[in-house]
Amino acid sequence: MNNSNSNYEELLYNLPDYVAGKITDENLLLRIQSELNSNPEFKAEYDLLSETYSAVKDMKFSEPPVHYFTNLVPKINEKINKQKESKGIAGFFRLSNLVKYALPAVSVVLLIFVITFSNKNDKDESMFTRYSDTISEIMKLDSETSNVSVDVETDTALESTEEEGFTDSDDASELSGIENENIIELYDENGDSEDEYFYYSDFETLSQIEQNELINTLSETKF
Amino acid sequence: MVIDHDDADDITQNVFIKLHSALKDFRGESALFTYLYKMAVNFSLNHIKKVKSKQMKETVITNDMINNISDYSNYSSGFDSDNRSRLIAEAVAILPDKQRAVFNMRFYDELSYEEIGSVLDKSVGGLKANYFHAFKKIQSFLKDKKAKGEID
Repeated sequence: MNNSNSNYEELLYNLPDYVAGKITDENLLLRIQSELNSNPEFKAEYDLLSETYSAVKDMKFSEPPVHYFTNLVPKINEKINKQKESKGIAGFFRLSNLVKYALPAVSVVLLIFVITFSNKNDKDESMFTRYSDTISEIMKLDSETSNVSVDVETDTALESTEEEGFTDSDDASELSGIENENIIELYDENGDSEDEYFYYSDFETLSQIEQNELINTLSETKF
Repeated sequence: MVIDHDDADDITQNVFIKLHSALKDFRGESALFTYLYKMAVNFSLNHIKKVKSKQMKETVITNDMINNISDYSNYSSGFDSDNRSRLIAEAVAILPDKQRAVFNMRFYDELSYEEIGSVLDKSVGGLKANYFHAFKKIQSFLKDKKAKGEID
């Protein structure tokens, strides 16, 4: 039963080609003709299919305009050229190109940036060292040469002023220097205060060259 | 397959542009004709899918079912205004995509089942069944129209 069903199905599926006259297999042709003669259901299918086939065959297409095919090739060429142009621009921004060109470029820029700023920091550090050295030298010079000790003798002078009625103008200027807190606080390398003070009065005790050197150093220093 | 001349024009151009860029990768494993035909069928099927999904979206947005029905007139724009031809065009247009592809390739382009099989990656038996069922659907569509008096 299954065998005859599959046989019938096979013949049915070949029916459109039979109607169209496209079957070349002699054996298949004979089987279809035999079925048509013996099976009215198959014959009915054949008649309906023939009618439909004729209807579809008779269908008329409207032809494309005459100039269509002559314009087709130039149109395609134009589109291909446009694509090439757009690929040229868009291609530059492709990921592969970004990796190829942009990444090294950014790396070089970053490297230059880092080198520049590390040099600047070194410069600042060397200026700070120079400043510290100069101040140390000044202090050393001061302690060796000064007649008035900043820490001890200023205090003594203060006491004597209270007791004896202080009138000396030089000493008075020293006092005013202290009162105005016109001092430079010294810091160690870590930025901690060393509790040593460089007083304005000390500045006056320096020679002109030392004063100029100190002024230059201070003016170059960024606080 | 797409019936409308403008759509067919666009697809034809795109197929040749694609062929131009893909030709360097063509390994000659199949005939150039099959390669090109396969490309054309794929482009056409993709185009039909796009049109269908667009129509479905529009239907959902506007909820206008009338538009959906009137779209059949677009399918037949590539055919003569003869009523019978228009109806047959509609009948072919509403076939399932793959079935329509098989019908067009076999009926209009007269390709062998082997050639169609290499384009659509289907067996000869399956293609024959598809072709037969396509005819049956067209037949049923025309019978229905005849019953409604829309065709002689």
